[in-house]
Order: sequence, then structure tokens, then C-alpha cells
Amino acid sequence: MQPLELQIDHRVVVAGTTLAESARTLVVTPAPQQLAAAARGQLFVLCEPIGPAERAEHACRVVTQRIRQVFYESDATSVASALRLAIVAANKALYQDNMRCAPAHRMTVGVTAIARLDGDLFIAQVQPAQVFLRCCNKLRAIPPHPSWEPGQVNAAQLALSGALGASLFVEPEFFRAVLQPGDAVLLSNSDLITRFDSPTMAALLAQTDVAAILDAVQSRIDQLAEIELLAFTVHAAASRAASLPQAEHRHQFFQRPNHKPVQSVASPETKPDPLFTLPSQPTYSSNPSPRPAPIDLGESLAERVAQQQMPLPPSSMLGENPPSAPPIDLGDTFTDARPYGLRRPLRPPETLTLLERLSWPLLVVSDLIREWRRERVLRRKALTVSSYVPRGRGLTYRRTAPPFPWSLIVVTILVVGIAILYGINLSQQNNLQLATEYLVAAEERVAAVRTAPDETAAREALIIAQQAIETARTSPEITTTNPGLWLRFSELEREYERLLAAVDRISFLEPVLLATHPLPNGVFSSVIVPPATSSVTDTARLTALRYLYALDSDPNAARLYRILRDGGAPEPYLEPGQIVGAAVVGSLRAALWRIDQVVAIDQASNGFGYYFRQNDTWNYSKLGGSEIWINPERLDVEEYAGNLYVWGVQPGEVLKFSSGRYGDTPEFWLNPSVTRDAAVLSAIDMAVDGSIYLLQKNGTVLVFSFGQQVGQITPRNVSPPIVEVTRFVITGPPDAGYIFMLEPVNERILQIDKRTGELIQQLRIRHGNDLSLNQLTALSIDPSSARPILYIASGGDIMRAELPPPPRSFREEALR
Amino acid sequence: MKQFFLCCCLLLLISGCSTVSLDEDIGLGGVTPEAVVESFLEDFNTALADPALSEPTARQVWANRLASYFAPSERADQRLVMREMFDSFARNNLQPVRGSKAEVVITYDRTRANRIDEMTALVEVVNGVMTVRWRDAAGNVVFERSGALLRLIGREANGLPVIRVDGRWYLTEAG
Repeated sequence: MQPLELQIDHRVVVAGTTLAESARTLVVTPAPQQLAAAARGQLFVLCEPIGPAERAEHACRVVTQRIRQVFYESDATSVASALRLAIVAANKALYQDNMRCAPAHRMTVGVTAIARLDGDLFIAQVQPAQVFLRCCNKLRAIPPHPSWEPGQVNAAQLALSGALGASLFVEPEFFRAVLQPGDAVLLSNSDLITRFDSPTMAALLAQTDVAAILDAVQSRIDQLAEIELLAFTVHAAASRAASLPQAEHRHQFFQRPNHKPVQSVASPETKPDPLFTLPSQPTYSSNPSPRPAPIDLGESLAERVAQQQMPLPPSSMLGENPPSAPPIDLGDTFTDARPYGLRRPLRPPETLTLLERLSWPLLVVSDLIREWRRERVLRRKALTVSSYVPRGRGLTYRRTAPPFPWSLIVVTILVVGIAILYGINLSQQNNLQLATEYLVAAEERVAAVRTAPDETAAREALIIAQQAIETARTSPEITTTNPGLWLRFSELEREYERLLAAVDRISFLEPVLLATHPLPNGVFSSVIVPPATSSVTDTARLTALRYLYALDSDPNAARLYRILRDGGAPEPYLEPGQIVGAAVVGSLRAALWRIDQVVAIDQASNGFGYYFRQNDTWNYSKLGGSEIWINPERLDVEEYAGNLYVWGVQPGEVLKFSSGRYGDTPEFWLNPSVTRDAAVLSAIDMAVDGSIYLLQKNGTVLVFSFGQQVGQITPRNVSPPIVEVTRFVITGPPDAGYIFMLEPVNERILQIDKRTGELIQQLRIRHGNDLSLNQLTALSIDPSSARPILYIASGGDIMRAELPPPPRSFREEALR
Repeated sequence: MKQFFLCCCLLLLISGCSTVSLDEDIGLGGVTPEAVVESFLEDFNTALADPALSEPTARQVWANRLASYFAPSERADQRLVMREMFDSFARNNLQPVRGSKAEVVITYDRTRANRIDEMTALVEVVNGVMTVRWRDAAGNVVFERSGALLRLIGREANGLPVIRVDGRWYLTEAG
């Protein structure tokens, strides 16, 4: 490529004064030894400041310094990107500088930066700025101006808000050109283009002398307050020495900005002495350039309207020529075709024929009916669900159901579920709090029993405590599934029972069911428990000791059963109709333990028989004189020292069969003087322990010795009072031991001190237990163990329970 | 959606796991000072007569129950003490000094609060006696020895101290 030389000059005029040193222009030519800088090329910058005049130089200095520094020192890989980085950095520097000033003193700068690398020209521009390029005899204005190129009006190019320093974001516009000898470039402020038309500027830049160009330009715009000009012309390197007598300046790279307004790239020649050189003469006319010809708008609008035959379209108001062909009507048309046309066009009545006149009402009615039916069909269609069913995707026309909203349903279910769980949890907490309050109230009432001043107050407090406990018991939270409350409630019940025992002497049995009557409604009338003994060696007797014995209560066909001591199914041991020797067993009326075996008494037609075991078989002996006995409601037979005592067959009398002489006539044991006593006659049960005890329904026990009444035992301090006792059992020797009375009405067994009649305790079964004492019929006590064992017959059940220890008193006054 | 399900499942699991621990941390105590002493002595007698006491599990259950009569701050220590006591009792009962079986029974007439205030009380066990019986294989008593309860357990004060916590009375060793 042919080497090029540039002739460069610049000029800055402010308020009519030409500045020799101005920061508004910058020309940098890197030295050849600066390889990196030389690779960037030559740099031309011209700034157009906007703002207060006193800060214009400063702002332009900030911009040009920053552009020069970044352009040559950045790591950009191309000249264009280096230009862009330089302008962006200059914008940032100016913006930061502006931020340190008051808004009225802030400056914006339009800039044109041109980098020349050999024959290529890279132009970056931020408005306001102006560049005129004359390349290959063609003039180009950057940016173009409407007066030059009306078709390329771009208001955005004229906006000043994009100048450097206005914001942190700036985007320069880039242009490129290729230089050839004879070309010229003029950088100027943006106002310059309004002072020149295109031919004038083309003629101006056709000159080869750059100073002449600047002089011509300056002379034409000297009325402007500020003028910034930078121009260079391009010459071939070989012809430059002859054709350019002007001085060329060699500059150091990175010289002070704008220190040398004119720089030369390659010419080493010294500048000729201006004193001996004539300035170049301008080649153009000194007359002002002609004004641009006005736009020819043609005829006036009024004339055009007058000439137009047809109505003008609205666009003609904007200067558009009316169309030659009739315009296409794109508006809504009303045709006569179905279904848009009127079914029956209205015509004046006088034009209708007679037939049409006659049929007109019918036609109107038929139209109304048709319209009504059509609307109904459309309404049905609109209400049909299927009309809302979307079709499938793609080309199919088959209707498909809408997607099932699983996610919505799942979310709804979860939300509802969580709400329900929360509600349940809240309800449980409320119930728990309520149960705790009930429990605390019951505990307070139970605690109040111990502080009662006397027995009466204690009983009243106990009743209140019982009510509170029952209330707490009904709480659904006090269950075994809630161990905290349940254990606390159990402890409360335990304390309540202790207090109950202390005040009312009530103890609770822990019964174990041993046997149940084999017949559905069978009832045991007595239970016989063999006494524990270790002196028996006979096998048959040992076998007898392993069983309990129970007598049926059926008055006509009562049986004797035996049951294993640890429980089991009752097995008949002696039953009516069984043949024993020469006798046939009748209905059994009594059974008892005699010395080492169980014996039974039956009632047959010829009297009462006595059955006993011998050689492991039943034997029979008729009780002497029994054929004349009355049919007893209840026959009670007791044994003491081998003798049999019979109660119930002779009114008011106890019959005694001496041991081994049961076939003989019994003796009357009671003194005849007492047999007429009403108390004796009303006795319902008998017990023998050396003395004979007769029980009355009210619990009073008459004590007889040697046929005479020697005492009477009346139970004391029984609460609630005795209503009706049915049976009783005596334990211990005559001067000690206890009386156990059965009272099914109150479902209790009363343990009475035999000597004093003092209530030791009343035995009950807790509510809720499967077993009950409401059909108490018999009691037998085995005193052989450390704690006596009770065998209780209640209805068809036989149960076993330990005798509880006597209740403790909790107050000094309660001590007896 | 998957994360939502996981969160819900986690919530349900957390709510389902909030059950009460049964064995360790439930305090029985008593409604009154006398009640807690009587319940403790009754349970103590029942525990020593329990035929299942040879089983470690039963011993732990009884130790937990008896310790639950003590104040919350002392419960953990008492649980260990009770467990050691039952272990020792079960071990010695296998080979008693006399006979083939030993039994320990605490008897008393009644309890009485000698001193009671808002937070503490001293409960006297009237005629409290601890009896040790050695029985032979047939259950006959071979040897019997008894002593005053409080003297045997090493308390010089005339009663067992109890303390009130949250409205309920508990045994304590701090009296």
C-alpha cells in the first residue's frame, strides 16, 4: 500500500479568541519505537463541551486525557474496541468529575475520536459532534444532517442527552473509512453543518492545504461563540515534500496533550520559514455559499382539492396525491346475500301485490317463530357442557376431557387434613386440660377428708370426694393410654379407698373366679373348704383335701359338686337318684366338712339321710327321727367335735346328733325356756364353735351355751346400717375370732369382732369388676395361711380372695 | 410438590411421635403428705413380696415406681438406689442366711403428719416396724427379726420428710 502522509491542523476559538493551547482537540502520533502504541495508530480527538464556559476546558481535558490513556494502554485486541473502551472510560471519568460539582456546573461533552492505522480510519462518535469526510471525491457527513440528506433524518442523533458525562452509560457510534491521497477529514462542533451545504463543504475539503480549510471554515462561522476544528488532509508520502511546503512537526509520543497542534507522521523535513513563504491562496470563492433551494411542494392544498373530482381520502390532507383508481372499501358492507341480508326487504306498501299484502302477517309470525326456535337452539348449545370441552392437541378433532386437577385436589386434601389434625390436637389439649382440672378438684376433695373434724364430716367429705372422682373417671383422657393422668388417678383412687377404709371400714377384695355353675341359672347354696392339715397320709383323704365342695341350691334336685382348689369345672360328686347301698339319693339339702371328709344330708320321702365316704365310696345312714321333720325352708347342719347340730327342721330348736349315733333320735339342745323366744324363732342361720350362735336378719347374733342364751352380739358402727343379712360364718375359738356376715343387699361381707360386735371391716368388690357380691349365698374361710382365704359363693360363681388387713385409722379420734 | 409432600409427612411423623414416655419421668406423689408415705410403704411391701422380683425387668419396674414417689430432682438417684436395693435383695434371697427364703415386711398402725407447712411436712409412721422373716421350704418361719422402721433406715428425725411440688407431695431426703 502506498504510504500516506497527513497534514494536520486544528483551531479552537472561544468568544472570538483563538486558543493556542486547548484541551478540546488532541492529536497523538506514537513514536515508531513504541510498538504497542504504534499498533494502535494515530489518534485524533475533538471535544464539544456543553455547559458552563469556565469549566469547558477542564471537562475536555478530563475527556481527552482519559481517551488517550485508555486507547493506548488498554488490553483491547482491536482499534475499534480500544476506541470504545477509551470513550467509555472518558465518560466515567467525566461523570465522576461532574458528581463532585453542583448540578449547575456539570458538563457534558460530545466527542469525535478517530484512529488512523495506515490507510484505515476508525471513527467513534458521541453526539454532539460532527465529522466531514471527503473520501474518493465523495463527501460524507457524520452524522448526516436533514438539510443534507432529508431521507436520513434521525432525531436520536441530535439528542444531547447521550453526551459524555450525562450518565454512566454511553454507547458511541462507530464508522470506518479508507484513506487515499487527496482525501480530507474535518472534525468540528455540531453547529458547523448548518452553515454549509454539501457542495460547499465538498469544495472546501477538496483543498490540499489544511490550514486553508480551517481558515475558510473559521471565516464562515466566526459569529459562533465557540469553534472547535480539527482537520487533516491525506497525501502520498513521495509527493509530500514537493507539494507541501508547510512545516511538519515531529512529536514525541505521549507528549503533553495538544501541546503541538500540528503533527506529522513520517516527514522528517523541517518546517520552512514562514517569513519567506507565501501562504497558500484559497481556491474557492470568497462569496458566501448559496442557500439550499427550498423544497418544491407543488400545488397548494386548496388547488388540489379544487381539481379533485372525487372526494379526497384523509391521507390527502398530509400531501398525498389522490389515487387514480377508486379506493377499495374496507368498511363493513351490507349485502343482500343470506344470512346477512333481510329476509323480506321492506318495501312501500303501495308497491306490494295483493298476495304479498295478505301473506305479510303470516310471514311476520313465521319469522318470529323461526327466530325464537333458532335462539333456543343456540341457547341450548351454549349451555351444553360439551361445548366447553376442549379438543385434543394436534390435528385430532376428538373431544377430550379436561385434565383432572390432581394437584389442586391433593393440596386441598392436605390442607383440610392438616386443619383436621390441628383441630384434633387442639381438642385433645382442651380435654387434657379439663381432665387435669377435674383431677385436681378431686384431689383437693380427697385431701379434705383427712382434715375433717369428726366422723360425720369425714363421711360427708368422702361423699363429695366420691362424686368428684366419678366426674374425673368419666373423662375420656383419663385412660391407660395417658399414663401420666392414669397413674395420678389411680393414686387418687388408692387414697380414696384408704380414706374409705379408715372412715367406713370398707376394704376391697381382689377376688379370683374358681368355678362357675355348670347349669345356666344354677346357684350354689354352700361351699365347703377342707381345712389344711399335714397329718393326713391316706390317699383317699389326701384326694379329698385337694377339692372344694359346693352344694346346689335346687330344692328338688340339688347336687353336690367338687372343684379343684385352684379352680376348674365343677364335677358332680353326689347327685339325686344315685344309688348308695340300699338307698337312692334324694335332693341334697346340706353338706359340711366333718373331721376328714365331706358329708351330705338329703331329703327323701322317708326322711333325711346322711351320706359319708368310706373306702372311697358313699355310704348312707338315715338320720334318726327325721321322718317327722318338717320340710325346712333351709336346712343348716353344723359339726362340732364330731357331733351334728341341725337347725331349721324343728322351729326354735337345735337338734344334736351325737358323734357316731346319727341314726338315733337327736336331742333338743336348747333349753325349752328359750325355744319360744321370738328372737330364737326368727333366727335364720346357725354357727357352732363350742357355743351356738343364731343369726337374725338384722345382724344380731344370739349366743347360747349349754342350752341357755349367754349373750348377744350386735354389730356396731356399720355404715351404711345393716338391711338384711342372710348367712354368717364364725371363726376362731369362742373367746376370740370374728363373725363374717353376708349381706347381698349391700353387696358386702361384714367382719365383726366376736367379742364386742365392733365392725372390723366391710368387704366389697370394686365397681367395674366382673365379679360381684349381689347374690351372696355362702362363705367359707380357710384360716390356715398367714392371711385367711375367703371362698365365696355368689350366684353361680365361686371365687377366692384374701382377707384384707384391717383398715388403718388416720386420726386419733378414729382409733378404737 | 414433592417437597410439599415430604414436609407434610414429616409434620405427621413429628405429631405422631409426641407420646409420653411411660417408665421414667412420671411422678406419682400423693394427694396429702400421709398419702404419699402410705402409698410408698404399701408398694414397698408389695414389691418385696412380688414373686417376679427375681426378674431384672420386674425389679426395674418396681424401682421406677418407688422412685416416682420421690421429688423430681431426687428421682434419678432414687431409681438407682432402689434398683441396687432390689438387686441385692433378690441376690440374697436366693441363698438366705437361714432357711430357704427371706421376706421383709413393713407394718405400721397409721401415719400422722407431725409438722406441716406450705411446702414441707414430716410424716410419722406410728409403730412402724420392719420385720425380716426367714422361712423354710415348707413356709414355716425359721427366724424372725424386727426393728423400728425409722431406726433401721437410719433416720434420726421422728418421721419421713415430704415436700410439695406443683401441688403434690413427694418423699424427699432433704428433710
